[in-house]
Amino acid sequence: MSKSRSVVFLEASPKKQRSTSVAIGSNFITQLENRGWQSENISLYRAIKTEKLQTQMFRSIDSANLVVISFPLYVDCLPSGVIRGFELIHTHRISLANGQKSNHSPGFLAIINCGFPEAHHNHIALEICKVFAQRAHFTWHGGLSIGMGGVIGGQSLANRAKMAHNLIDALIMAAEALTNDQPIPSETYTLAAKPFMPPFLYARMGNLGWNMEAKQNGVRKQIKSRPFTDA
Amino acid sequence: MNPYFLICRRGFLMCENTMKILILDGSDSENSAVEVLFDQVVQQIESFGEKFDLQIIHLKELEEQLVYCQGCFGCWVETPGKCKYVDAAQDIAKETINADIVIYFTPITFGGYSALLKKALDRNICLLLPYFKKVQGEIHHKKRYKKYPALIGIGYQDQDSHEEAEIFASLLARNAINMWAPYSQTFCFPLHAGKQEILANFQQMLSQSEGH
Repeated sequence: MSKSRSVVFLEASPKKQRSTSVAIGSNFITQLENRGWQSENISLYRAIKTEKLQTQMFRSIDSANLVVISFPLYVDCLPSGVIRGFELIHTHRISLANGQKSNHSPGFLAIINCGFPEAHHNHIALEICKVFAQRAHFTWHGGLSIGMGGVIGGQSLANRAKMAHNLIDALIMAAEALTNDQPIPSETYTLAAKPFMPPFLYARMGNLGWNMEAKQNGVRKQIKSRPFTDA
Repeated sequence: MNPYFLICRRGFLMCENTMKILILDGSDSENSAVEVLFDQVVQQIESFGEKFDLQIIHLKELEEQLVYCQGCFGCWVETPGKCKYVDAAQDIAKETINADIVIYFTPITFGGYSALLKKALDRNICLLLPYFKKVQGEIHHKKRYKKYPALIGIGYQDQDSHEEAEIFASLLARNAINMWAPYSQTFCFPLHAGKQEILANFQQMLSQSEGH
């Protein structure tokens, strides 16, 4: 690669550790770094806390060639803190455009993972990201939609390579396309969305896992309790 | 005009008990047009008479008291049914599950809810069980409670965007599946119109909902 380009990675998980979103996003950033990109990681939940950190984030985003955000699906949609981040970035980018201080439109790519077996649960969140990207003067590169996030469980993809090989291949394809200034091939999205295991097995293992966790916490018998009503 | 616009289609009118309606107000601006719209919603419900018990939660007033959902699943496997972080979200979850209808009042934000409204909704996953179940051909979480409220989304837009209005409607419909709502409906209002036009739009919207 002849020219050095920059990517800002917005780590958009509220989890402070063992975040599946950060694990997937980091793998993608590594793929870009391997192709000569300079990267900067920003914790979105931290950045929205103070004006000083917001300003630093805006500065990084405005000068980047590409912004990558990775977050978990919360109730069919973006987690609240991510929406708050979008609101702030949108307001900033609009003021920048209105003041004609910049006509630079960094690329924008979203990576969304959900705990359901079917990746299509993410489709509304992807639509929202697309609208945000367009309204905040980014160049929309699309979004990778991933199901069965529980399989990754916050581990690095290298530790899950056997099951997550399709996802890893999709991240490589996306990184390659962006590095070559090409649109991300449609098969990348299909590959990323492929289930890591048969859905029925994931659901069964998931249900067993909840029981085990509740048992470890001494609340197995209370797991179905209804604290807010007798109904 | 029949004021029972929220419920007439699903036979809720046959309900003999007082119907509990909860409004989660996710607006955070002091735009007078928003106030006009909100007042219209409240007036409509109050015109239902004594058969309705209305509760309004202005989330802006609670914003500092609400922490973001941490995605820890503690409400499923540590303190089942309740978030382990004790703040206003526990009261909101309690009011939600005990309501017959919950109204989400929000600016349509890139097609979705405001961050303010979503902050409360993210904390409501305690109302479900962690267990997976196949519903309409895809996996969802099982019910924790026997009865869940109907969901109404009232969204407003600074500028007309058919695309965002459609996303908003799709989002509420998906929430209705995941949150086991027996019924859901969305209404979208442009705010650039003057007060009279907002009122006219509101009345028209109600009439249309009756006709369905």
